[in-house]
Amino acid sequence: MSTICQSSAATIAGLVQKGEYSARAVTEAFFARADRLDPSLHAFLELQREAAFAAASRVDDQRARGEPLGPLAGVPIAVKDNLVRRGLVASAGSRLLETYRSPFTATALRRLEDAGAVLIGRTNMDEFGMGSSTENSAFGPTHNPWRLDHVPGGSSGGSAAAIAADLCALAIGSDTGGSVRQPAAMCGVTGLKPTYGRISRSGLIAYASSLDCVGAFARDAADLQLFLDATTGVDPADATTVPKPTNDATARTDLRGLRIGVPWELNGPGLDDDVANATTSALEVLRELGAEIVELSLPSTAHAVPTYYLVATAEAASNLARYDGVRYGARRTGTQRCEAMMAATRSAGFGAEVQLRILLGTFALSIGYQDEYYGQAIRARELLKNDFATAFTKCDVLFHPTSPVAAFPIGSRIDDPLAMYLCDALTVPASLAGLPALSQPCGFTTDRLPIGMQWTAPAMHDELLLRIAAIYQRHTDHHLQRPAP
Amino acid sequence: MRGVTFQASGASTGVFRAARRGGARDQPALASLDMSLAPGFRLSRMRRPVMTPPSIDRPLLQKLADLARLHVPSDRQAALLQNLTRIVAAFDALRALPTPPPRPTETPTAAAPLREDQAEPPLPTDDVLANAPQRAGGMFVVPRVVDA
Repeated sequence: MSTICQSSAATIAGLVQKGEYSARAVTEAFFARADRLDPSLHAFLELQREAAFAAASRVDDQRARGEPLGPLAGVPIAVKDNLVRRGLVASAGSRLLETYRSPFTATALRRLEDAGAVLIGRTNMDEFGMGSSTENSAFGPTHNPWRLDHVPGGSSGGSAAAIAADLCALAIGSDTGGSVRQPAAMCGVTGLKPTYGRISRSGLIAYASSLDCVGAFARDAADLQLFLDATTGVDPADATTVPKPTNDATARTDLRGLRIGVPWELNGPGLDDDVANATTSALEVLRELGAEIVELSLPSTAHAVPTYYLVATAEAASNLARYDGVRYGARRTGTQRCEAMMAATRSAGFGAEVQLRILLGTFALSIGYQDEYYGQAIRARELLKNDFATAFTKCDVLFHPTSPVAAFPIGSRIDDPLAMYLCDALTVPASLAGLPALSQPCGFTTDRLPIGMQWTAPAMHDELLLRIAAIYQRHTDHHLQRPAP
Repeated sequence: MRGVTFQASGASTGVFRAARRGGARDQPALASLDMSLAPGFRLSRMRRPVMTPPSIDRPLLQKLADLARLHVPSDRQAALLQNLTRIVAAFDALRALPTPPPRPTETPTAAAPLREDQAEPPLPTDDVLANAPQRAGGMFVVPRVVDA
């Protein structure tokens, strides 16, 4: 049964559609593999067997009745713990929401289920998406399948580890400042952060609303097109969603004439040697495939990390105000006054990094500091958007590494927030500009940890990224490498 | 203070010619935080005079905690103060953006399409209240807010 677990989502859907596999059999195979491997990985917080087998049976019943099946028929999908499903727990990796059961289902998940997907469980994450290693989960860290004493990246580290270890055929994550792309790089899989607004955020537990995007992981870039096709489009429940674009990238079958912009600020200084060497080699391959390399500059990326952390924490301080012990989760009792109850509940329920970011965001928004910090950050964000707009007059896509370093040992950075924030230096620029970005494997370190390279395209050109990634895959085998079982 | 930079690399093969020239140009993204820790960073491009980063002291920490409805126990205050001070100092270069400041970007979506207002049935009250720690008569119950 291991073969089915290593198949692409498209292959699995095809097998189920043709009746060569039942959706229930596929689901059983993935649960058996997860039962065997996840105890050492901790990618999942919960395997939702009952709901998964019910969904699989619906697909099988549809087929038995001769009804057409969806494009994701029987495809087992792991879901980050910050996307809600009606009646099931979604905790966002937080003790505060440990028992929270949603009264509704996230639009993206509903659309995946409508396409025939089988959602098999919720995956571990940094609490509320705040972290780059999944060590900030209230429920313990996830381990990187390539080396168990290393982090998988974050914040969607559980989803990245699950897809890397073949515990699911697609994995859903969310990306606020790199939380899909960075763990994709560290786990050797492909991860897509779509254009802001292409996928509804309704039912995504908010971290920073102007940055949050639902994204996904796959072993095969083509599977991400299935994800995007199923989930994209306007949702009345999210006013920032945009219609499906009309631009079509399917005509591109090779890389000849593709202008690849290489911003020096994100490609040279400060990178780990192995990362620099791998992305340099990848660029040579791309050149050999006919792409044109255009050297350029994105000067405002020098401010990207402070800009991101001030915008994100300011929005987080506001978004997380709702966890006050009144409407959700556990209440810390023993006090007779409402405000004291709220402070006691929040202090007991939030982890240390979440509290640090709430305090930083509160600082950035407080009287006397707001214009100097939050105000400057949103002005710097405009400068960054302008830099990208200028760059895209000279090139079709941008290229640089996803993370300056490969996966690092668990515990090695967790006590130094600034060092952890720097892990996001190469992913936050596209987030701030709302642009689609994709990470795909491009090599390994000398001690065999995966390295990812990142593509960024103009807004609404997500499909171009997927085409480029698929073409690169046709000529390389980095994406076919697997961690030892 | 602990270092926050990554090891400089030897990424100086042909495709990164521009990167090699970087030292004479603007700051690379990865160096910005570390450089911003150095006094006088990018003085020549300051939009306004360099300001001393605000001191994050215990009274300010207490004020922020009160605003955020957090209780910071005394044994955690020193570590929080240290982290906040380092972060705010590292982010201080942002206060020196080049002139003129452009309009702010608060959301990346320029114009989301408008739709007709349509009344939709709300979520059932019982469903919404199901996660409440305490409820009565279709309402959330909280401890006393005002004095009797």
